[in-house]
Amino acid sequence: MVDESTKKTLSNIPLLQTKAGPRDKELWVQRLKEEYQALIKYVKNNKESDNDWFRLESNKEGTKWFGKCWYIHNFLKYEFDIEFDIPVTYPITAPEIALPELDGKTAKMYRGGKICLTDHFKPLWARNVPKFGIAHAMALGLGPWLAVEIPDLIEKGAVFHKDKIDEYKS
Amino acid sequence: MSTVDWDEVKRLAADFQKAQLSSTLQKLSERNCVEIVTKLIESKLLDVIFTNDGKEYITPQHLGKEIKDELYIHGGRINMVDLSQILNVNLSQVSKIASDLEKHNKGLKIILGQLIDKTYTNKIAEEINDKLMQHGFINVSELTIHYDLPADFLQSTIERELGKSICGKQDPQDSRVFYTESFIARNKAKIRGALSAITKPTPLLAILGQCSVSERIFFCDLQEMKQIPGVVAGKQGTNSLYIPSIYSKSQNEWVDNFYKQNGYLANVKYVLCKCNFSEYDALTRLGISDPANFIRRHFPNENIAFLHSVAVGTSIRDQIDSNIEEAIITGSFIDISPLLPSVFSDKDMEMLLKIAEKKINNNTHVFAKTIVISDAFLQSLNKSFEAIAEAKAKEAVASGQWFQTIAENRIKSKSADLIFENKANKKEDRRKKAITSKIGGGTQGRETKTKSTKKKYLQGKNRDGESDDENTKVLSTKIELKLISLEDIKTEIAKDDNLSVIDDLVDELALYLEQKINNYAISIAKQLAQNNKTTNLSEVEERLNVLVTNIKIFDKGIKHIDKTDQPALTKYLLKSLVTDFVNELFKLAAQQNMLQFPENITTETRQKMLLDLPEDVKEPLTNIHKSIAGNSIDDFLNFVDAAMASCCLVLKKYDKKKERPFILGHKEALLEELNTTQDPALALHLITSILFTAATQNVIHMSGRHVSTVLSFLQTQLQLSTMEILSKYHDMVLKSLTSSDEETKLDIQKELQTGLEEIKNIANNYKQHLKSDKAQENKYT
Repeated sequence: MVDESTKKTLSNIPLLQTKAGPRDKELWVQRLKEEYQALIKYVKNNKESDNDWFRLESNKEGTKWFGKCWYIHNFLKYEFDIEFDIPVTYPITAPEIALPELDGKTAKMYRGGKICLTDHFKPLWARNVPKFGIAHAMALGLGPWLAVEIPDLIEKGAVFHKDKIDEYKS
Repeated sequence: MSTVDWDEVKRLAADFQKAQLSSTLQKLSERNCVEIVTKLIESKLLDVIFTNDGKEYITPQHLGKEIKDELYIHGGRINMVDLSQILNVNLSQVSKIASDLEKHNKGLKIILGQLIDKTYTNKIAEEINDKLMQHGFINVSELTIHYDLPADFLQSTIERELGKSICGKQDPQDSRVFYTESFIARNKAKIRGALSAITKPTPLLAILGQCSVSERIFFCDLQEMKQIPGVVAGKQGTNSLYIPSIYSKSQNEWVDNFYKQNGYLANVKYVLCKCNFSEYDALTRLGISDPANFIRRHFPNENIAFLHSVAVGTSIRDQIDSNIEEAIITGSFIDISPLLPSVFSDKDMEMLLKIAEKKINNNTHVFAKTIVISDAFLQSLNKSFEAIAEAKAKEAVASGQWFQTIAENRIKSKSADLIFENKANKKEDRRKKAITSKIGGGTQGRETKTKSTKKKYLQGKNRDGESDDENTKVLSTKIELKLISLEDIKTEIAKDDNLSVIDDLVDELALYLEQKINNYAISIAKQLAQNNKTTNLSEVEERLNVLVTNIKIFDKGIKHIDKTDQPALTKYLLKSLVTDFVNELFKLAAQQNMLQFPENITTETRQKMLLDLPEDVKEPLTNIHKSIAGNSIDDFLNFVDAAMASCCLVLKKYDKKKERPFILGHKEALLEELNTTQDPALALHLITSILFTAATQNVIHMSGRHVSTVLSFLQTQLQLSTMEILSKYHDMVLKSLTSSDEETKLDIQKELQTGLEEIKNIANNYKQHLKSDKAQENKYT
C-alpha cells in the first residue's frame, strides 16, 4: 500500500524508458541519463515542496551510489549515510538501499544495513520495469521506511540525535 | 558517440549535484503559519485582527486607516454594519476601532451605529439652511425623518450652526422649530391683516384655516402683537373666539339701544331668527357664556327680570301689571301676548305672568299661558252656565235618564264611564227631540208633560235658595255623568267673540268650567230627582186610586143597564179608563225598575215591558194586563190590589161616602159642559148621561155609540114627551152624521140647532122629565 502523498510524489517523477543494466554499455549510458533526469526532477520537486531529505552521488560509471539522508523528528534532524550498488540485473532487480549506521538496530533490515522493503514494493517494481528507476526506489522504498522506522527507533532509544550524542560524549 | 554520452552523463551528474546543493526553499505550510500566528498572538507578541473568513490578518492601525478611507469615500457618513461588511472584519472589532478613532479625532462621531465626521455635519447644516430658506421654517422632527438621525443630534447641530451657516431664528416656545426672519414677518403681516379685517366673532380655527398660518406661530405672534383690534376670548387654543373690538362695541351699543327702546332683552337664539343677530350668541362670542350675568353686569342699575328666553325691564312689567289690574277691576280678561314683542315665547309670558301674579293678589287665573282672567269674569261666566246647567239637569231628571244613569253607574264599572257618557248624551238628545216635537200633542203626552213642568217649576223655586253654594260637591266622584258636554260649553263660550278670537282659550276655559258646571248640574239633578221620586209616587198613587174609584163607580152604572147592553159598555170602560190606569201603572213600574218606555204605551209595548220586569213585579202586572183584554171589570178589580202593591202603591178602600159627591160632581161637570157646547151630538151625549145619572143616581161612562142604548134604557123612566123629543133628536143627529147629502145635512144641522135649546132644557130640568122620581129611586137604590 502506498499512501496518497507518496503516490503524488511518484506521479511527479518522470518515468524511464530505456531497459538497460550497467553491462549494456551504450544503452546503460542512455539509462543513466534518464536516471539522472528523473533524480534531478525528483530533487527539484522535493525542494519545492520543502521536503528535501537526501543527497546522492555516484561513481563515474553510475553503478555505485552513496550519500546521505535525514529525517526530522521533534524538531530534531537525524542524519544517516546511504549506499547501494546497481545490481547487474538492473533494472529487473531493484537496488538494495542500505543504511549501514542502523545495521543491527532494527529488525526491518538485512545484513549490512540493507533496508527491508515492504511486500508491495517488489511486485510494484516488477510491474513497472523498466519505467521505475533510482528516484522511484528512493521515493517508494527509503522514504516510507524512514517515516515508519526512525520515530520508532528514536522512541526505543536506538538512535540518538547528533547533539545529544555530542553532549553524551562530552 | 559514447564519449558524448558519458559527457552528458557527467553533466547530468553535475546538474544533479547542483540541484541537490541549491538551497532549499524555506516554505512554511499554511497550517504552520496559522499556528505560528496564534502562538504569537497568545504570547502577545503580535497584535492583529482576523478577518471574517479567518484567512487574513489585519493590524488595528491598518483597520483604522481603512475605516477612515471608507468614511471619506462614503461622504463622511457610514454605517458600522456596512463598514464591517466592506472591510470584512467583525463588527465588534470595527466598532471598537471606531470608538477609538472617535476618542482621538474630534471631527468624528458615532451616532446610532453610524460613523459621521465633520464634513458630513457641515454638509447637513448647509442643506438645512437651504431648506429653511426655501420653506421659511423647519422642524427638527421632520429633519430626523429626512436624515434618519436622532433629533438631539440635529438639534445640537442646528443650534451650533445657527447664525453661522444656518440663518434663522429658533422658536422660543418650541426649540425644535426654526424660522427665518422673513417668514415670521410674513406671518405676522398675514395675521394682522386677517384680524383687522374680521368684523364679527370668529373662531380662531377659522382664522387659521383662512390664513394658512400654523397654530403655533399664530399664538406666538398673537402674544407679541399688541395692536390687534380685539380680544381673544375663551380658553387658549383653537376653540377660542377672536372678538374684534369693533364688534363688541357695536354689540354693546345694540344691547343698550335695544333695551332702551324695547324695555326687554331677548337673550336667546330667538333673536337670531328675528334680528339675524342673537344676543345670547353674541354674548357667548364675547366670551360670556352666561347671558344673564352679562345683562346683570351691563345694566347694574336696572331691575331686570330674567325669563326663559328673554330678560325684561321694568317698563314692560309695569305695562303688564297695569293691564292685569285693569282687567281685574273691570272684571274682564286680558291676553298679554299682543302686548309683548313677538320674541317672547309662551314660556316667557308664563313666567312673566307668574311674576305679575305674585305682585297682584291671587284673584286671577291664567289660561292659555298668556291670558289673565279675573275672578269676576269667571264668576259671570259661571253664572251664565248655571242656567244651562239647570235646564240640562231638569231635562235629565224628567226624561228618566238620571235614574237610569245612576242605576247603570251602580252596575257598571268605572272604566266604562266614558262610553256611558257618550251613550247618555245621545239618549238625551233623542229625548229632547221627542219632547219638543210633541208639545201640544196627544192627550197622554200632554198630561205627563204638564205635570213634569209643573214639578220642575216648583223645584226651580226650591233650588233658588240653594244656588249660592255652588262649590258644594254633592256628588261622589264615582258618578261621572256629564250633563253638559264639553262641546256644549265650548260652543257657548265661543259665542263670546272676544274669547273665541284667542286660540286655545275656549278649550281651556271649557275644560276649566266643565267640571264645575257639571258638578253643579249634577247636584241640581240629584236634588230634583229626590223631590221627584216622592212626589211622583204619592201623586201617581192618588191618581191611580181616583181612577180605580171612577172605574168602580162607572161599573156600577153599567150594571143598571140591560144585560144585553152591558158587555159593550164594559168593553168601552176597559178600553178607556182601565187602559189608562194600567198604562200609568206600567210607567211607574218601568221607572222604578229603571226601564225605558215609550211615550205611548200600547198592548204590544206593555208585553215587551213585561219581559224586562223582574219576576215579583211581572206576575201581578201580567194579570192586570190580561184583564184589559177580558170582559169583566170585576176581574180587573180583583187584580188591581196586587198590581199596585207590586209598585209599592196602596189601593185605598172603596169609600161609599165618596160615591155621592163624585156622582154629583160628575153631573155638575156634565151640565156645565153641556151648557157650553154647541155640538148637537155632544149635547145629546151629555144629556143622555145626565138623564141616566138623574134616573139611576149612578154615573155612566159611555161613548157616542152607546147613546141610543142608554136612551132606550131610559125610555121606561122618562116621560113620553121628553122621550119623543130625545129620540127624534137622536134620529136627527144620526141622520146628520150618516147623511151624505150636503143640503139635507145643512137642514138637519139647522133643526138640530133649534132643538138644542129644547133638549138642553130637558137636561137642566131633568127632574121634571122623570116619570116618578121616588118610585124609580126606590127601585134602583
